[in-house]
Amino acid sequence: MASRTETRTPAKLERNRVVGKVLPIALFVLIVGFLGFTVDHFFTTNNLINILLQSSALGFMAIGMTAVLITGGIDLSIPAVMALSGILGSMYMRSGGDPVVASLIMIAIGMVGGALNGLAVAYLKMIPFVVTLSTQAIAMGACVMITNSVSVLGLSQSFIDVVMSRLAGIPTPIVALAVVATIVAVLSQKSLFGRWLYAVGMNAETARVSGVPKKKVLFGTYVFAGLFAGLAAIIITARLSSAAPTMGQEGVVLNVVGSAVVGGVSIYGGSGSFAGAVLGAVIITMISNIMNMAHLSYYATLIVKGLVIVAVVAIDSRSKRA
Amino acid sequence: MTKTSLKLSDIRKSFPGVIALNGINLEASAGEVLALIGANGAGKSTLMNVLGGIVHMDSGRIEIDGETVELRNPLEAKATGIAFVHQEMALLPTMSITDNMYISGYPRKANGLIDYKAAEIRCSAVLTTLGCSMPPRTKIKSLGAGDRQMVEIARALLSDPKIIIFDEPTSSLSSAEKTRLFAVIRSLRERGSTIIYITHFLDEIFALCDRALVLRNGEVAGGGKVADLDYERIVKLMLGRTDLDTAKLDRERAGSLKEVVLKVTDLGQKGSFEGINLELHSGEVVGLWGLLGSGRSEIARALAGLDPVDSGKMEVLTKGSLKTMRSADAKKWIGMITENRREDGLLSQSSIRKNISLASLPFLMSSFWPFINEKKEKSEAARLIERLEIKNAGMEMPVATLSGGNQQKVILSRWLQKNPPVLIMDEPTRGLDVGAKLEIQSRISSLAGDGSAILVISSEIEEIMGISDRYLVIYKGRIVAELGPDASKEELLTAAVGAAPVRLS
Repeated sequence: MASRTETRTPAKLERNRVVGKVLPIALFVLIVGFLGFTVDHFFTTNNLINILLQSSALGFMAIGMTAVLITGGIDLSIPAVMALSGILGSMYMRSGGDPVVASLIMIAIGMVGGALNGLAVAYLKMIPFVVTLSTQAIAMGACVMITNSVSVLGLSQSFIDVVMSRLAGIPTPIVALAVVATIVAVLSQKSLFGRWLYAVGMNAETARVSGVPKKKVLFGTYVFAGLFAGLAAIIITARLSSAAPTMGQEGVVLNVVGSAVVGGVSIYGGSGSFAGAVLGAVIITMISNIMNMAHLSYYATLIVKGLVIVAVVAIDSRSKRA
Repeated sequence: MTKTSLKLSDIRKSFPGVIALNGINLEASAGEVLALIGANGAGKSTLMNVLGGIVHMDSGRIEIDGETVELRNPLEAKATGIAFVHQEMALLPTMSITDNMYISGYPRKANGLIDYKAAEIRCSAVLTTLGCSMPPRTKIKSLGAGDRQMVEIARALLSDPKIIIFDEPTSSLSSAEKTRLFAVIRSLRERGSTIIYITHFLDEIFALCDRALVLRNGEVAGGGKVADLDYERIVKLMLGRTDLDTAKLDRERAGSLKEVVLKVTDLGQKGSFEGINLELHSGEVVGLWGLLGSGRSEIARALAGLDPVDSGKMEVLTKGSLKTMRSADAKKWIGMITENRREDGLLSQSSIRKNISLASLPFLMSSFWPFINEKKEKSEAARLIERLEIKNAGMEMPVATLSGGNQQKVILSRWLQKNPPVLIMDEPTRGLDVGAKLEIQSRISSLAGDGSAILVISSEIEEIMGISDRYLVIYKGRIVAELGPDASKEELLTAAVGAAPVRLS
């Protein structure tokens, strides 16, 4: 019998790569160009720093989401877990707790949430979508119950001052994101875990047959996503000087998934870069800003972002099939 | 009885590089069961796909009841009265028998809705003719394998076919269920149906069939009344007289067996295999020989730690002595080349380099940084590419751009780099052309020469005879024979179909 091995031509594979890498940059240039022409004083240092500052927490969450998407999964619970850890850390500070310990609490809660997701996905073989949707509901429910929907105020001033400080004139969250994203990007390409992550995402069975500890990789990935939810919580609570369940509302999930996808991370797993996801976070933030300046409602913004994400996924799936 | 209802004349079909059917003539009469036999690749599947309207023949004529018919698609085949009962149970487990039988087209009421009543009445009627009493609303998942097979047959009978083709229908049946199936097939024969029965199991031919037709290399090798045939005759027809003596590949290591590297005692996995005992020595190639569905792939996967086992013990040579290992740890000691490159062999989107290093990454870490030492990774990949002569346009190119043979060599290099004491290969040359096949086979031999213990599965007897030092024959989940290097083709084939090994002089 004739074998039906379909071989992809180099040209087609090359086109896939181009779509993944060029699209986010093209979108970025397009939006920056549009803003540059239509908005006065867009290219001022202050304005640019402002956009980056707004993008920073989203960027952290997008890094976590990217790792999960690369495995072929999804983590819908990142914003809700972020809100819960922000609330609990803030309550600790409100009762006079040490800001460093409070930050560690936020990170730890994020990782516990991620570990629960990872346990269910990796070891109990549950579907990531269902698992993380449930975790999201649980975390969100806990947020509202704990706070009665009242913002947690009274954070330690030194916490706010340190997180929102400036290094050489640039707000610390931006510097932190740049440094962390660079480290993660390098590790994703050069570390053992990074290689395993992509291998599991491209073909989990091939990886398993080749001796890659698939379950550990999956578990670790969800814990990693939880860690970044915790880091995002630190930045957001400091920026708002408070914590509230609304930090994790539904629009944020859209922003996080959107950042990764617009940044060229494939929802089919196996491809995408962390740097791209951070760029995606900046793009998503700018889209929100444009809509704000055009005095469109929050809900209209949701529609536009939803459409942008669907468009990018459509391009991704077309290039996959080619 | 003697009326010829199906006549195939000079059917030819070639695929790029392969002549699958080279002038097949076949006649089958109403009221008879014709066995169609042949080794893998003999052309059985292609011939049946032609009859099913799935593959289009290049030339030839198909006549049913004396009239020439054209089968351009499966629907036309069905309309002309040809029905298939497939070996794979293509049923929807959560739906009812009725739904499964009518899924491709329900009877409708005048208002366009499904007429379930009519469907169920017809469904019960067909089931009754098969001697089945299950209510038509029974869900498939609550049926056993035998009843499911009956539903498959009932589905085939719905269209009132003249010709029914059974494609290895017994592979998942118990012997009681088999007896029942044979009774049904006999009653279909009595009602005047023409039945073509494809099987690997020779005993079934003698139990059930009236005539047999043996295919070999796309041609009719022979056949005749089953009453006039015996095992040896059929086996010889399947193999061809000319190639009874296969020259082994160069082999000087025979007789110089070294220490046992893997010892398996009483290994079992419910529903797949049981009581597996084997020993592998370093420097030998052992052929795990058996038919498709005999449990050979399941055994291989379990040995490699890919699937869990229910019982038994595995010991592996560690630091000079055999030590018990957990099945989950088997991956550390045993490398596995699975039977499907695309499904679980390659990272298609990834580069040649990353595919080669995949199993060895923990050994490629830099001594100080938590990074993979890419320099070492590249030099290792380059070494293996050169050693196995992998034709490539650069190791950073996606592995999907390579030809099948070179892709397989990439997987081979992956294990060469890790160099586990035991290597299992399930169909290592599947889908490769002749040149690539020979090359992979000689690589396997030289690997054993370097001291690896290798367990090979292949559906091709020439291949397994060409590379193995000895054989373990699997039949229905058990090792039924251990044969030495001087085993003949006949011995292997007869053992694999469950008969006592015979030796022809």
